[in-house]
Amino acid sequence: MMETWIASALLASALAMFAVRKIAGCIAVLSFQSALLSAVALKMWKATGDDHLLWLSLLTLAVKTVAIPLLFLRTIRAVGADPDAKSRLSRPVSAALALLIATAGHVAAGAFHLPAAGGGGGYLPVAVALVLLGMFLIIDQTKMIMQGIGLVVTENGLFLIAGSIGGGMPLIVELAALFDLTVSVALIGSLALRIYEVFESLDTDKMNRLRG
Amino acid sequence: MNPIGWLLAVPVATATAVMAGRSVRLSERIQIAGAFGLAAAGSYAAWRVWQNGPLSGGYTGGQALFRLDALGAWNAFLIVWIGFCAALASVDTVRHEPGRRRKLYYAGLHLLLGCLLLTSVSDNLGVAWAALELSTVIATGLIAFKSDKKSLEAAWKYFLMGHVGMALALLGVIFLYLAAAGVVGENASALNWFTLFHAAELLHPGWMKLALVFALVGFGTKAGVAPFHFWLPDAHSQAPAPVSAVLSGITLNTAICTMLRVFALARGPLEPLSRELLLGFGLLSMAFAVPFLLVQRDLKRLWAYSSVEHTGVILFGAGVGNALGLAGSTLHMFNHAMLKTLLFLVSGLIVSRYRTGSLSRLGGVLKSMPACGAALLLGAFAAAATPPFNAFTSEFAVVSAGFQAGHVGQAAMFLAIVGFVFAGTMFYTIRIVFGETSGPQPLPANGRTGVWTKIALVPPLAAVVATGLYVPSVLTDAVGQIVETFRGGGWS
Repeated sequence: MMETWIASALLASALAMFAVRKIAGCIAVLSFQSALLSAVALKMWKATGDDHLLWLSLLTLAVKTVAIPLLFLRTIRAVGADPDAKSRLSRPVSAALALLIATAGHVAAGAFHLPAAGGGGGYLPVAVALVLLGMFLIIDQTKMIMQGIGLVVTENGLFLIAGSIGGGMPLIVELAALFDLTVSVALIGSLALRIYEVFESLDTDKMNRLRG
Repeated sequence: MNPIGWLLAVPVATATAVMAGRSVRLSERIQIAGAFGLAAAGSYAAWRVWQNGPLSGGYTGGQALFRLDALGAWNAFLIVWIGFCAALASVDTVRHEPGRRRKLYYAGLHLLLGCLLLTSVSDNLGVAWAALELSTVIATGLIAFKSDKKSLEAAWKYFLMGHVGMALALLGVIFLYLAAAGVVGENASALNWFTLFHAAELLHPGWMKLALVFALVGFGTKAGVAPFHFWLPDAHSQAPAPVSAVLSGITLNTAICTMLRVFALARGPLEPLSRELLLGFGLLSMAFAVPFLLVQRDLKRLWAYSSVEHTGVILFGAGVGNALGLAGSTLHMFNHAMLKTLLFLVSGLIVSRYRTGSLSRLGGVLKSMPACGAALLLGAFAAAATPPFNAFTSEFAVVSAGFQAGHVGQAAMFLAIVGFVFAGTMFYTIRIVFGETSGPQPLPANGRTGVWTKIALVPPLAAVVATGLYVPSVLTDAVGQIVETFRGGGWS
C-alpha cells in the first residue's frame, strides 16, 4: 500500500514539473521527488537488511534532496533571469504528452518482464516513466535550468530502475554517480552565469548559431 | 608504485599543482612537466602490459578495481601521447588569456586526461562509466573556454547530449549487472569486465541483448556514432584546437573501447547480433558524414565530420570480427588519433593567423604558412585514407577483412563511401592550401608558433607519415594481443 502511494507521488512530482510555472517551484518539486527516492531506498533497506541501501538513502537525502536543489536555487538567484519556465509546446499540449509518455513508460516496463528486487519491484513502471519524462523535459523546456532539472529527473529514474530490478548498483558506482551529478549541477551553475552574460538570457532557443 | 597508480596520480597531481602555482609561469612549467611525466608513465605502463601481461591494482575484497590489459594499455598509450601534444600546444593557445583562466584551463585539461585514463584502467564497467561521465563535465568547461556565443552554445549542447547518452549507457550497465548478477552474485564484481569475460557464455541472453542496445546508443553517443553524433561537430569545432585534438583523438576512442568491452561479452547466439549492430552502425556513421564533408563551410567542422566517418571505420572493423578486421580496427584507433591531432593543431594555427575558419575565405596557406600548409596536406591525405599514409593501412585492413568475411555488399559500400570522403576532404584542403585567399590576409608571423607547439606537432606528424610505411613491432604485437583477447583466447 505504502509502495503504491510513494510510486504515485513520484509520478505526480514528475508530471507536476510540466504544470508548475516558476523554475523555483520546479526545484522544490525536484527536492520532494528526491526525498521520496531516499524513502524508497530506506524502505528497501528495511525489507532486505542490505546496509548499502541505508547509505544510499542518506546520501540521496543529503545530495539530491538538499545540495542539488540548493545549487540550482543559488544559480537562478545569482543570474537573476526571468524566473518562469518556458516550454516549446503550449502548456496543455506538454502536459498531455507527458501523461502519454508516463503511460507508455508503464506499458514498456510491463512488456520487458523485468525481475523485481526485494521490496522494490513495484517501482519499476514509475522508474521507466521518470527516465522518459526527464528526457521529455530536456526536449520540451527551453530554459537551461529546466533542462538541468530534466537531467536530474532522468538520473532519479535510472537510480530507481537500478534499485527496483537489481536492488541497487554496487555502492562504489552509486557514489561515483552521485559525485558526477553534483559536479554537473555545479557546472550548470557556472555555465549559466556565463551564458546569461553573453546571451542576456538562459533561453536555449537563442542558441542557434551552429549549423551544417 | 604500481604503474596504474602513476597513470592516475600524475594528472591529478599536475592539476592540483597547477592551481596552487604562485605564478602563471610556474603553473605553465608544471603542466608541461606533468605532460612529460604522464607520457613517460603511460608509455612505461603500456610497455609493461604488452611485454608481461595485464597489470591490476586497487584490490577490494579480493577483487581488483583496476586492470590494465592490452586494449586498456593501447588506449592509455594514446591518451598520454595525444594529451602530451595537447598540453604542449596549449601553451601558445592560451598565451594571451588572463592568469586564472590559464590555470583553470591547464588544470581542466589534465583532469580530463585523468578521467579518460581512469576509464581505461577501470575493470569495473560501472566505474568506467562514471569516469567517462565526469570527463563530459570537464570537457564541457574546456569547450566553453572561449566564452563567446558559439563556444557556449556548443558546450551546452555537448553537455546535454553527453549526459543523455551517458544516462542511456548507465541503463546498459544496469542491464549488464542484471545479466551477470545471477552468475557472479549481486556485488561489485558483477560489473568487473575480466570476471564477466570469463563467464560470458553464462550471462543472461535477454538482459545482455538490452545491455548491447543501450551500450551502443549510450556509449555510441559519446563516441560520435551516427545518428547520435549531432553534438560532435559543434563541440569539436568550437573548442580550443588542443582540446579538439583530445576530444577527437582520444575521447571518442575511450568511449568506443568501453562500448567494445560490453560487445565482447556477447557470445553464442548473441554474437551475430552484436556484429550486425557494429557493422550496421559503422557503415551508417561513415555514410552520415559524407554530405557534410562534401558541402562544408568551416575548417574544423570538416575534421569533426571526418571523425564521425573514422568512428564508423573502427566500428565496421570490430563488427567484421575476424582477426584482420579487429587488427585493422585497433590500428585505426591509433591512426585516427594521430592524424586528427595533427589536423586540429595545424588548423588551430591557421585559423588563428587568418582570423577565420571559413573554407570559402581561407587560401594560400602553403605560401603564407609553408610548414602548416604541408602538414595540413599530409594530414588530409591521411584522413582521406590515401596511400602511403597511416590511415590507408588500417582502412585497407578493415575493408579487406570485410571481403574476406563475406560481407561483400557492405565492404563495397565502404569503398564507395571512402571515395566520396576523399573527394570532399581533398577538394577543400587543396583549395585552402594552394588557392588564393578571398578573406583577410594572414597576420604576419611574428614568431607566433612557439617552440612547444612545434614539439607538439612532431609525434602526430611522424606517426602519420611513418606508420603508413612501417608499423613498429611493439605496436603490431600489442594489436595481436588485443585481437587474441577479443577472440576469446590470449593471456588471461
